[in-house]
Amino acid sequence: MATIFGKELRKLRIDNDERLLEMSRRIGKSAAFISAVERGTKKIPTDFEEVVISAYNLAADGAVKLRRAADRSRDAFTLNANTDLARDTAGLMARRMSSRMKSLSDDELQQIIAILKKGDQSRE
Amino acid sequence: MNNTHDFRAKPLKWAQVDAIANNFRRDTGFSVTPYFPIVDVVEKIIAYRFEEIDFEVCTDSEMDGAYGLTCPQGGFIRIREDVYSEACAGNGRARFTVAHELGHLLLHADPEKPLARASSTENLKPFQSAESQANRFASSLLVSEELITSNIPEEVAKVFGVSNETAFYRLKNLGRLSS
Repeated sequence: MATIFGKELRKLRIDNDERLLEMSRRIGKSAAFISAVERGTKKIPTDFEEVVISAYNLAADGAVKLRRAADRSRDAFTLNANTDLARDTAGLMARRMSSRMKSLSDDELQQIIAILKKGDQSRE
Repeated sequence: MNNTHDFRAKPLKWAQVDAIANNFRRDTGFSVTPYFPIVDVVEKIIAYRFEEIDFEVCTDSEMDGAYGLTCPQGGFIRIREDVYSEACAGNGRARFTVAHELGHLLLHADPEKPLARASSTENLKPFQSAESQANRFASSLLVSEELITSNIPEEVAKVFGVSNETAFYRLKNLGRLSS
């Protein structure tokens, strides 16, 4: 059974009349790897969806949809940090978020999403 | 093909298997074109049209060494990655493997009652062996009897995109081998 993200990748191939072979050439990953990601046997690597988005020149809508599908097919998220201070901060943040995430209500989560989205817009 | 694990299938006459293969060829629009693009058809038509059937490419270890594998309930067709890329490149043997798996999907997959594995001591007759039926389907689909215009295996192999061996046995079975 394909994950939500797997279904999106398959849809992308249908739209472009491609097989796994062509997709594998386009994004530079092996067909077996893409296939494993699609059925959830392998975790979606960080930024995998970004590689797909740029390889297929996905417009805003398509990109948003693919990122959301990727996130919904993940249960762990990666935060990159390059210095010790950044790593300390990221670690604390991740730990605190992880422990609090479970106790947040849907309303509170929606509020967080709204704040994050606002931040995205003002940056663009 | 790997015949170490066979399954007892519903007995089928070769004419029945051939009819299923011919209908499939016609339905997919290749009744006049000798070269049947098996990978395209399996991957795009089967797996893209029917959401409940997944087409998967797997590594050698994921496949436990097998070339291809079809879910007995019809949920997926799996092809080993090297076989997949060879089939995409037009290799006859690899194309046959994909067609063979399609045969299992069309002839044997059943969500309600998957086939029973034959015991190793059991001597299955070809007409009730799932492996033989899938092989018959594959050669019938890839080398369409109506479209054969030569009785020389090498020529048939080239036109239909199969191995010389497959072409030889297909002609032999049809009594059309040049001698």
